[in-house]
Amino acid sequence: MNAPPVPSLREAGAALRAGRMTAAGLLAMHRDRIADVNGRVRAIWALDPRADALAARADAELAAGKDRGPLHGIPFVIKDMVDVEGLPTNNGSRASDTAPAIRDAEVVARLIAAGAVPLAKVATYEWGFVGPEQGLAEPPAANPWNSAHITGGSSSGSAAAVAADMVRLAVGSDTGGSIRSPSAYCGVVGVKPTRGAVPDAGFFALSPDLDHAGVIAATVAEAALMLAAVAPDTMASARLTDGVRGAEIGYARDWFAQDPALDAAVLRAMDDAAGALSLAGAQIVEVQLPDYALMEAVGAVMIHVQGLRLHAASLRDKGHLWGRMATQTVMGGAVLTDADLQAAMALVPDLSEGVTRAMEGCDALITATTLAPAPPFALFDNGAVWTPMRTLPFNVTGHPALSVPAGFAHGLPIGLQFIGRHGDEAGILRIAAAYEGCTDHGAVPVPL
Amino acid sequence: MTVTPVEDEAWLRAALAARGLTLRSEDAAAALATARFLAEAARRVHEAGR
Repeated sequence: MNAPPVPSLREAGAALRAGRMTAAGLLAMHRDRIADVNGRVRAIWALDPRADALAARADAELAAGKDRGPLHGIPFVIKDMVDVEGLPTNNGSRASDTAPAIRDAEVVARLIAAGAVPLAKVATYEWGFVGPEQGLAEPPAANPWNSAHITGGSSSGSAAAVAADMVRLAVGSDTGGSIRSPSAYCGVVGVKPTRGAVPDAGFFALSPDLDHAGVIAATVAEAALMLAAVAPDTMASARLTDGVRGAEIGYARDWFAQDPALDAAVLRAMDDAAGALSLAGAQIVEVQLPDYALMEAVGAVMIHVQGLRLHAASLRDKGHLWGRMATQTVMGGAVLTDADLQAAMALVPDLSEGVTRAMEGCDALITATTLAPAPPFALFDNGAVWTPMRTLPFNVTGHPALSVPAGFAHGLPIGLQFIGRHGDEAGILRIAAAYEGCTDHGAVPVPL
Repeated sequence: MTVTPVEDEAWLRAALAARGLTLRSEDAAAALATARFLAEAARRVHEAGR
């Protein structure tokens, strides 16, 4: 079988409303694509048995003149750290409770209320903490651009499923870059909104002060439509077609350009992106963000203290079911104390103010999402590796941030990160849409 | 400023035992590497907070 990529929201929406396609038929197209490519990508873990009934509902409603909006009849997938009624939330771990969730996470419920069709649960790293690890209940997802390379994580299946054209929309979560880094590695759009802007009820907690619910989509416009459904307030003033003429964009170049882990191709791509935005009419100014190493240290302390607190009982009682990487990473947190956590959290207001100050006079900031393309699985043969990226600081400060495709390095996608003021998802989506519109990085077909 | 020193595997074993956790020998090297990374992070945090 050779199933084509699933249609965009614009194409599917037009076809549904013109009567040229049904939601049931659209769902079947998604399943055909999954059957064709998921064996190579391993993003899809469990199909949602409610999908047929909800697609039928979407068709019946359209026939009766009821249109729930741009997501009406559109399938989406959900990271397996997010509750979906009737399916277990496995968190990528054998040690998880296997009882089916009794209700949908709030985000899933809002998407269904907007007419979207829950298609499947998708891959994640164990507990969202660390990966990729072989030998768990499910193998890790593979990068659709080169299956010898990782997807990044922990929203690995969400990014891989969208990149493999199995679906256009995915729910993810981001505690240190778990939406943005797999989006960069897989060449899709990933949005980590302002902390708290998208409800995380029904999401498995990893680090309560850093966790963010968010979305992954094939394009900026589709991400914006999804965000509008799950957090309408964030997109109330969104005007994605306004472009960037007259906008001032701060380029945090020094924040990553001196890092020895930086791939030179990523620096070239980031400079090219700044040039593209300038040609589109934006003014680019270099800005200085707070010390990256300190921001990473603050985030690392918070994640590991809170992670060990959260997981100690499971490690004690079900440690034999845990993978090695998660065990080792969580146990390493035993070196930290409550005083370390308090000291880290005491720095957050100043760091957040430092980011906001760097943004003064700017409509958004740009910087690299990751400092290199997706590494090969072989890099992880001997255990976890800290992959270089620039995502965790905005979990610490809560600023909205998103990653968009910014080209390729060594045949693999790389991402450009946009950061906005607290509450200004609409602003960074507008600028990201303008960038996406003046480049063609997201239009390169995936070699599946 | 108080920063916990990570001395060796025995130290980490004891810290985990205090939480009722047992460190398996095959996990020790990687867990110790993580602990040392985190101890350095904590040192940096306390230093910035002074």
